[in-house]
Amino acid sequence: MGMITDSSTVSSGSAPQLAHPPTPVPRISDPLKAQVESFNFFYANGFQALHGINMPIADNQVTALIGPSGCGKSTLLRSFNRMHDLYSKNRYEGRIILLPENINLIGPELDPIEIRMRVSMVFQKPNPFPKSIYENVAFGLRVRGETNKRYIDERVEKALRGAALWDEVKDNLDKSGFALSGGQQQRLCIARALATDPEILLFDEPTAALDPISTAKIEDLVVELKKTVTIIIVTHNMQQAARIADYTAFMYLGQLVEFDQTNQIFTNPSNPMTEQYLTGRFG
Amino acid sequence: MSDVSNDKIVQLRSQIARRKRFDRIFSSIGGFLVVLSLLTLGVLFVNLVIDGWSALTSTYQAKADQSGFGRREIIGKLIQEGSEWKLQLRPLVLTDVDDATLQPLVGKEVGVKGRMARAPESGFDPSSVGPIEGPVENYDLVGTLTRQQMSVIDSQGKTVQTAVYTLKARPILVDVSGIDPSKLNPGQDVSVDPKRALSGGAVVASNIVPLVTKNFFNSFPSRDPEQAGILSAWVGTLLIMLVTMVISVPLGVAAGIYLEEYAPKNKLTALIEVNIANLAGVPSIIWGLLALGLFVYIIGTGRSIQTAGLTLGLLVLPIVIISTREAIRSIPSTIREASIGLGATKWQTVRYHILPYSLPGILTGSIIALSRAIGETAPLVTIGALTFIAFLPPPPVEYKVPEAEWAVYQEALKANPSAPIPEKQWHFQPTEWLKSGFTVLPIQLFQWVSRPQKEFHYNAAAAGVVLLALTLGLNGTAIYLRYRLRRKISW
Amino acid sequence: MTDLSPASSTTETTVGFDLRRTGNTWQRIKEGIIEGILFVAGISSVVITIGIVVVLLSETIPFFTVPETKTIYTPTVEGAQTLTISKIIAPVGTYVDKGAPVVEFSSPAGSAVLTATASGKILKILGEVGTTVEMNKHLVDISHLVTLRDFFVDTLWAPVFDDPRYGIWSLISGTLTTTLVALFVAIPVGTIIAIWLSEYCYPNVREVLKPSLELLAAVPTVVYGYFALLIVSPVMQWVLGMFGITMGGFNMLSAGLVMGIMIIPYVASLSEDAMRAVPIQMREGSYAMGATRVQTALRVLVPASLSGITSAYILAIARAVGETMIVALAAGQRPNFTLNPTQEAATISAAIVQATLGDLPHDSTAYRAIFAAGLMLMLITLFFNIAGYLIRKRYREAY
Ligand SMILES: Nc1ncnc2c1ncn2[C@@H]1O[C@H](COP(=O)(O)OP(=O)(O)OP(=O)(O)O)[C@@H](O)[C@H]1O
Ligand SMILES: [Mg+2]
Repeated sequence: MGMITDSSTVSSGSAPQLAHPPTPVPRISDPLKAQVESFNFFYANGFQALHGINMPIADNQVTALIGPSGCGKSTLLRSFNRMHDLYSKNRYEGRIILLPENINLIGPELDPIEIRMRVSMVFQKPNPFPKSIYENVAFGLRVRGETNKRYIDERVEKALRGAALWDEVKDNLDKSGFALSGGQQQRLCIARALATDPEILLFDEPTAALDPISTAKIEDLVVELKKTVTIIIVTHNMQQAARIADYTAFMYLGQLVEFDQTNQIFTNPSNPMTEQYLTGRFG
Repeated sequence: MSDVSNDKIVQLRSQIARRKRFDRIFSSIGGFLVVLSLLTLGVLFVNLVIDGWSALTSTYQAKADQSGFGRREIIGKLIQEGSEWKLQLRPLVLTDVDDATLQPLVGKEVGVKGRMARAPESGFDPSSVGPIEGPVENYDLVGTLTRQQMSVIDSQGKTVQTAVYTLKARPILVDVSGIDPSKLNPGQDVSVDPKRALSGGAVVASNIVPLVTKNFFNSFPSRDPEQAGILSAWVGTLLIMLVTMVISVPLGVAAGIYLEEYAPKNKLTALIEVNIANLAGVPSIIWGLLALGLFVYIIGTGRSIQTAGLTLGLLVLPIVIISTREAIRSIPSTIREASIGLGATKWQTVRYHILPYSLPGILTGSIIALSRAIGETAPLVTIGALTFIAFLPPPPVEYKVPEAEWAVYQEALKANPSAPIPEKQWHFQPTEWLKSGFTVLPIQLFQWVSRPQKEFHYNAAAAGVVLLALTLGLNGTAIYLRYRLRRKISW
Repeated sequence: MTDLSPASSTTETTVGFDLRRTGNTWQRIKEGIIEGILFVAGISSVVITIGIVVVLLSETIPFFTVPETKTIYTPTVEGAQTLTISKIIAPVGTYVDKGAPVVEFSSPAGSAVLTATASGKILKILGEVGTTVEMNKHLVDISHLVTLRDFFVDTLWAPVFDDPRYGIWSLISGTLTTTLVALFVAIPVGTIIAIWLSEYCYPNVREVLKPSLELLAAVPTVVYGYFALLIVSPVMQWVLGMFGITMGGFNMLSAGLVMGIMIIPYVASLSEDAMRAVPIQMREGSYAMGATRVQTALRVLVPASLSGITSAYILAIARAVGETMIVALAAGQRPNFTLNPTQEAATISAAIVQATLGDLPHDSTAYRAIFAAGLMLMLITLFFNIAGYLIRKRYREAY
């Protein structure tokens, strides 16, 4: 994968000062699923959480977002499926292009509901609904008005298999989703997200609330899933990013400091701040 | 995977459009229901104001005090001619008259016989009106007759023409020998209570009371809807609320402090907590039974202001306790720890920190409690407050002639018209009012609604306006206070 | 802090030391006294509850244990002016069952038998064999004990009739009907409003709307009674008239409808609280799946807050069951065993009001009857209140 450096550097007037200016975003040769362009984000209280983000998202690859707490990883991730629209007065600026149709994900003309049906999300804390395992997975189909029992059965099984949960729950599909362990609940949420065939799957620290064994299972799952779906994952765990991500973005104070292939970032970061962060000198 | 077929997107969009349509419909229904609910409140209030407006704003002339003697009073202006006192009567309106007989008399001097036999203010028998024949002294009233054509709306709702006659009578002589001279003020509008009628329409007055302009707020309830007012009701409400608050606020605040600051975590405390929650849900009529069975019959506080105040005080106690607890709970424990850390005792912490900081919350809760108590009807009906109350509770201090002496004086007056009027004295009766019978606004409203006559319903609406304005005003104040509180406090 | 002990002064001597000691002792006593006073205040609510229960029981128990005197009147015989007692079947002192013959009469027009209208002991017979009596005259007194059967099986409530009846069912039916009508309004409207407030409304608008809606519960019920009787009832008469249904001025429908409006805030406000207590992650999880607001509300939030919503419903029921003035004014005060909302009927509370409006002689069975009815009402509302409290407590602990 050859690397062509993008010459345009981003600068935003109100951007907080970084010790070292952001490294230019490399142009990647993998086919793209999405492209973030000059993206700014403002919370309702006027706080600008993201400053001029430029970032490619490779198709059927795992992109990890890392950075110290509060740097805007979740904010960026949640922009991909317009979760910020749930709260009034939040404001996007710039573009997030979804390929191959070349539509702007955050464009006001696009319905956030449509985006969310194509871009699913798994949260930090497992959040199953107060329903049976089956109904949890079928939720996305049901809200689409799907009523064909046979079809739903099929999709539920496929999603549960995809989330490596089928063998554990196939005899207890009527049990409440709350009855599962934390790791199982998280996989249930992944199954729920998979059931509707999303194009992009967003993970916001999916293993932060889990034990090591469950974490390992989810990590394996993520690697498995990238065969069929593009994945963006926020993580605090450097090793996790190194293990599962193809590309890694390091963010700081709402800016994208460095973006590159994961092995490049971890072995040879071009920005001194990235190195400082990775070696644990701040964050 | 990444090339999503156009077909799929189109399908997705039509399906989303369908769901969003339902979403919008639901949104409209919800918004409509919210508006409708609020509108109900508005309609209720506007309707009360429209129906009650005339009762709220109308005034009438009435005697200045209630030392009343029924309806056989004569109303007019007192005039003095030399040593004689006369009463200039108001023009007397004759209704239901025989136009043919009276028309020839218009503009002439006419006399009325036997007027005193009838209630003067309700007019008199038109057939007793006739031309003057013989000595004027034979007539009870002498005056001139005027006729007016008027259109009135009859019971079928049609406009009909009718003749209305008015008699402008000459002043009648009043024998004022039994009257306290201080009551005789020339030119004053008065009501004369006739003891005896003399020939020629003259009367011997047994009492003369000045007339004042009265309205809905300073009139007692009355059989006459036009003159009925809410004086005794709002005074009763005011006094009972005083008792209610004196009972519920200290007791409720103390209980709240105990439960939040002192109570150990044990079964008894848990019991008290469940109990308070349940007490808040006891129907108000049950409080009425408590008041009737315990206060009226066992303790014997009677059907009085103290019973009513005590009952309502206990009824709203849970509200005060719960709001006190909430107010205290919102104070961060760091403040408590800081105070204890400085060596303050528990009570000092409560007295100088907890109480002052929770005061706005307690105030809000007390206002809510007050508004609840003002509107309560059932518990007071149960203790038997549904009586006709046309008096006010005795004031704590009164300057008056003692009743016994007044009776003696009345006796003496019969033998000797110039018997000396007994001296007034100061009376101290600070707790007498607590034992007085009472009525309150909601009960007055209940009484008036229960009457079949439409006119009383207008009075009910007027009382409803006052009651609703009071409760909504109090609640609005509480909402505002709570809102301010939430904005101001930043621990 | 003004009442700290004098030891806080800087000139501390041995005397000062003593002062501080006495100050501390006094302080301790004072603290103890204050705590005692506060404890008494804290326990007062329990005392009040005990007071309520004791008062209700102290009249309800004699209601069932102290016999009342029932009066029986001479029967009428067609064509006869007077009757002559020919035989006394059940003399004074004997027990008779309801319907048992007591006295036999003869008359020129035929004979007749007087039967007991209630079971009990014959107290008094005003006449002996051979006495001539007029018809419909007070003749026999029976000492009757009100039984649980009279209370729970009979369907007429008429404590002040000559032949008093104490069938609580005729009052429960009225209470039930008005409550059902009220719930029919309040539950759908209140729940939809709750969903709307929680999912559709801007938070700052909700800050204003919610307390404004709560004002609906603050309107004095007697004002609602006015509204129900003089405005809603005529409107409903007109509306039903268009469907050919005639309805009297007093009816449970209007009372129930207005009561429903009154309890909307209980349903809406508490349900909304419960729905907003659902963790934000669950709500976001639903939206992230592409659900609309109404789908999120109905498919996730309502199931998640079901216990909270249930407790809101139950508290609203308790409120409707105990409501007095609206029903006393608009539903009438005449007991009527029916579930037809277009009918006039008294609820338990309205019957108590009705009874206390007149001058009930203290110590009479009719007086005790209202306490028995009150105890019944208390038990019903207590059941709902405790159920609501427990459910609410459970859902508070759920998250
Ligand atoms: N609703 C909000 N309103 C205003 N500011 C917000 C809001 N949510 C987050 N922020 C701010 O935006 C910035 C980025 O927040 P974000 O949650 O994206 O951080 P993060 O990188 O995900 O951190 P973490 O690793 O702790 O999850 C933070 O400074 C945060 O304080
Ligand atoms: Mg985050």
